[in-house]
Amino acid sequence: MYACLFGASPLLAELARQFSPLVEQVSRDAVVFSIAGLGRLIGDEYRIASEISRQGAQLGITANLAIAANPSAAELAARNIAGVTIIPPGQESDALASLPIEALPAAPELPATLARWGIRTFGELAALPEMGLMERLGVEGSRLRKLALGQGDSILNIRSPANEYTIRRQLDDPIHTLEPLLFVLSALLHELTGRLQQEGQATNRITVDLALDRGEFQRALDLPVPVRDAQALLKQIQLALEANPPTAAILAVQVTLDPVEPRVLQNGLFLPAAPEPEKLQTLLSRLRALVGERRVGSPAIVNTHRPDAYRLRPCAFEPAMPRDDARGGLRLAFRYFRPPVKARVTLNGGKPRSIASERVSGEIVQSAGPWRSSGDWWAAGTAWRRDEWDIVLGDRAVYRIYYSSAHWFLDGSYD
Amino acid sequence: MLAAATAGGEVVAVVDCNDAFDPASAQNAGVDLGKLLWLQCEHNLQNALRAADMILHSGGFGPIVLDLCDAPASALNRVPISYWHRFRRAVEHTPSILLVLARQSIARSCATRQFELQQQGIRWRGAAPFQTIHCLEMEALSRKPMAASAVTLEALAEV
Repeated sequence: MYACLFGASPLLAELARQFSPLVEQVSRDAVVFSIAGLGRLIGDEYRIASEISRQGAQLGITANLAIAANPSAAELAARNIAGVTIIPPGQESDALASLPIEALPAAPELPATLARWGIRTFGELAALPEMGLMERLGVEGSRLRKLALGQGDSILNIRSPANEYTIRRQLDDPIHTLEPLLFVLSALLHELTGRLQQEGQATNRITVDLALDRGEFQRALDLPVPVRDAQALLKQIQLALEANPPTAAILAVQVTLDPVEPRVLQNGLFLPAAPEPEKLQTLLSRLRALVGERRVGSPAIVNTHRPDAYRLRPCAFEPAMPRDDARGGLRLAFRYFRPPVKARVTLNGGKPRSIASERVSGEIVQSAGPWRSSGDWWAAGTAWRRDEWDIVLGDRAVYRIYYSSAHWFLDGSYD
Repeated sequence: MLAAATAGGEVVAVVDCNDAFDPASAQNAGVDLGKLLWLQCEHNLQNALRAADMILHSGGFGPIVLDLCDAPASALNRVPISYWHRFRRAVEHTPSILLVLARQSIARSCATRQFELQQQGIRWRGAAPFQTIHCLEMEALSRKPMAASAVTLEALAEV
């Protein structure tokens, strides 16, 4: 069932949204909305109409209300019948039969043509044969006849208003520490995430603006996956503010969430467990606060021959089915000394014979090299060049050393 | 272990106390780097232990490697036994595995398994002066439960 409100009030849409999220503002003075499902909550159509009237009166709205089985019939009734009209399903043609033909939503010349035929009301139009109307007026004739019968087949064209996900609170007393600020932020986040929940949205960016005693403070957090859990968002903000707290008393707080479509994921029954996205984000924030922003992530190999070239990407772990291409057997691993350790290397016949450094010292019993490599010579300031040796010391440990910029370095060990 | 876990779809973590992890080696060994969380602790043992604790308690990870190989023995000996008890309690009854790498036995009674790896030698490929490493030979011995004989392993350089 559908309801239509027709009146001059600008609050019609607001009244309709109190009853349904499926609202179409068909014109400035008319709103059509679905009341399907309200029966369980409120009662039959008469009770629903009564409740809408009561809420409208509270808002100070004066409008016609019509309830019908389809949006077109409800709109035609609300526009042309004063007060409250309830059309039971199947009785649309009887309820609309007395309406003047000029009330049909059509080009102005069509009602005039029908009037010349002697058709004055919806009922008279509905009594005409459909094929005859089609032959004389085309598809439009058939559409008008259906409207007159109260059998319009229009559907609601729902447009959600651009929802604001920003709340600002002016504080009664200035806040000097983080703990009371978190209480305020918690309330704001619960309200905002409630709105996100209502609209079926999530967020991937939070912006906190603080008006300070001296100046402004802004902190924006980008989240790798959309979230709408207030506690998870609060923890992220808490960690960010603890790492970079405001420097003066806080006078006002504003929180803004950027709405995005929520992540939809169907997990499999046999998929291995992966960290929950909300928990993972909190974990990463805590780890970044502990060791630094650029020391946490998933490594990615950079497309270059420069040794030890990698970058850290933000972590985004999705559950995945096991692969069957796992390699068997052990592979040689390398352990870097970061930063490389300066060493003194003595040569004999062009080959390293002994090494002395703060980590490793001793006679070299075996060596292989030099393996020469260079790169980035085309870019000023980033060119590199090195001669690498693999060496074995007396304790059978295997290291990699290299000579670069007139110095020897201990690069790491094989493990 | 990391390669097998990521191939099995698990998410793994490396808590790298001395920033020694080599992503290229890991990729060569078959580790899916997109399923690996790498944490560089800049030679800070306390941070490494705290980070491992956070990861263990967040849940959802498969193997978690706590690499303390290059941490000084004196610092490792000062780590209270309660830390290892806490770690053990965190991984008990979960699919996670905490693998602690160190040059000495540090988790003591809290460890479920202990293995000792000793490098035995190196095999080269090719003739001098163009030799390259073929493989490292290692001996693995189970210390807990105690095994009578060691197992010889070969870590191949080439994929």
